[in-house]
Formats: sequence, C-alpha cells, structure tokens
Amino acid sequence: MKCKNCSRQVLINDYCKDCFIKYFEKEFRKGLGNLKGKSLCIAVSGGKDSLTTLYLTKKFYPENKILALLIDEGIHGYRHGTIKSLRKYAVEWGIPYKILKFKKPLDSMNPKRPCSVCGVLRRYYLNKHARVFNVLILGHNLDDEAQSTLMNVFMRYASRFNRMTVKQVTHELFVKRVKPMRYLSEREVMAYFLLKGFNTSMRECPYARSSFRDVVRKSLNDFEYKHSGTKLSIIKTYDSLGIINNPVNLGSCNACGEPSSNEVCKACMILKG
Amino acid sequence: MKVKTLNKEFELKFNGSVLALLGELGLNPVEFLVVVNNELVHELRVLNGDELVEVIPVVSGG
Ligand SMILES: [Zn+2]
Ligand SMILES: [Zn+2]
Repeated sequence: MKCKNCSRQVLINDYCKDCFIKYFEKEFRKGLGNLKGKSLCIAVSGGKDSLTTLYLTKKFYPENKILALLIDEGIHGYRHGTIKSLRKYAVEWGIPYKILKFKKPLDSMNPKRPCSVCGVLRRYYLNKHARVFNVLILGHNLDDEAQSTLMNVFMRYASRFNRMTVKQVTHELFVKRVKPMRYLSEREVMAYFLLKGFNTSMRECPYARSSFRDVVRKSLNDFEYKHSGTKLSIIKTYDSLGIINNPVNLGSCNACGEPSSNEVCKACMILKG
Repeated sequence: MKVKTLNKEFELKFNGSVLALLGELGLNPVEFLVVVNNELVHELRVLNGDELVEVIPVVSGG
C-alpha cells in the first residue's frame, strides 16, 4: 500500500513515516492556535502525551516563556520513572521545569475513588500554580477527551460539560487552557512518540484499572474498532453543542477562594475530609 | 518469533500479518502498536519466523 500523500510505503493512517510526522505536527500546530508573546505553563507527567506536548510546543514557540509543571501525586512506584524522563528531556530541550508534590501522598489518603480524588487535586494545583502564566497547555488526546465526554453523559454531569471546553469558563482565577492534541488519537500520539525515538516509562498507574474511565475506554475502543471515527464524532458533536451553550460563570470556594461551582470546592472537601 | 509485551516475553509459532497476530492474542488493534526489530510497522505487515515482535499498548504511561 502507498502513502496517500506521496508514493512511499504506508506506515500508519494511510501515511508513510515522513508524511505522518508532518500531518501530526500540522494538526498539533493548529490545535495550539496563536500563542505569540504568551507565557506558557505546560502540564506534564513525563508520559508520552505530555512529553510530546512539551517537545512540539517548544518547537513551534521557541521564543515564548515556557515552564513544564509536574504534579507528583505520591503513587508508589509509578511517577518515579516518568519524572526521570521529564528531567532528561527538559534539559535536552532547554525547558525549565518545576515538580510539586501533593501535600499528602495519594497512597496515604487511601481514597475510595482514587482517580477522581487524584483528578480533582491535580486540576486544583495545576490551576493554582499556572495562574501566573497566560495559558495552561494540557496534553489530553482524542481518547481522553472522548472518554471524558461520555463519562459526563453517563454520570449526568451536565454542568461539567461546558467546563471541558477551553473557551467557556469565566473566573478571574481560572487559567485559559489549550489542548493541542484534542483531535489526535492516543494511537497517533504513541506512533509519533515512537517514530521520534523518544522514550519514557510505559508503566500504567496502579489505580487506573479500577476506574470508571477504564471501563469507558475499553467499550469506546471496541466501538472504534467496529465503527472507525466514533471518538472524533463524539468530540465534534460535543463541540457543536458548545457553541450554543452559554459560558459558565464559576463562583468561588468559600474556604480557599479558588474557582468552584459549589460553595466549598471539591479539593477543600477532600483535603479536610 | 519472540513476542514481547509490557510485562512478558514468549516464543510463538505464527505466520500472518500484524493484524492477525493481534487477533490471535485477543487484542484490539485500536489499542496497540507493533514494533518489529525496533521499528514501527504497518498493521498489514506480514511477520516471519525470526523476528522480535514488540506489542506496545498505546494507553501506557500517563
Ligand atoms: Zn508519504
Ligand atoms: Zn476550596
């Protein structure tokens, strides 16, 4: 089979290696939008998604002020390997980085639903520390986004819908978010990562398998296999709804002042409970 | 051929494409990439005898 762009041997997505890399970078660039002169905080875990995000953001905006921010959740035997990779690549690519730890390691909190607790706290710390930057860049891929959208439907979290989009939230303490890989599948990200010769710990979070997200991922991938394009359709449908929705005006948490749709934010409830 | 996944390695007698191998292992091709002798390969690539075949889950890492 031949590449749809040139006559070379096809490798992935009907593209040859070079054309795939070009396609991927073009999509990423489109997803970033115009960030000229903006200071950028990039949320990183040291996994393939965030390292790819870090590499390409720096590639397209080499002059911008950039910080890679890693939140160490305190999960035994998991984060260690990716922190090592972040350190290595940040130095190699000339990007400053900062590592913040959960005040109480996630393991020690012994939470019933570790992934949602972890998610709430990670978003809380990210937003808080990214505030001094113009934009917070997140490495979420198409799979992550399609899963989150479905999860919000399944759990009847209509209010979270608007907050997922990048443009819809207004609160002076809520940092503008950009997700350059929102339309790039996890498989494409991994292919790009491998083709660039990058390397990191591929270990999975020990909590991941027990999460609701994992159930959704599995079903969604089964669906995608039988009906190619499903994930993209979910996101596109969601996007077209977003346009007619009103922006969310978030209130502030009574305890800490951070943006919240409740009187006391989820992070405060977790940290006090 | 030698097949390597995230946490195990085993010998397998197999003839066919990457796609067929994933089917044989009961894996969804949406969730995996295959690297043969350290190079990413297309899913229609036919595998033969003496190769080192790495099956890489795309969800790995966070
Ligand atoms: Zn080509
Ligand atoms: Zn609070």
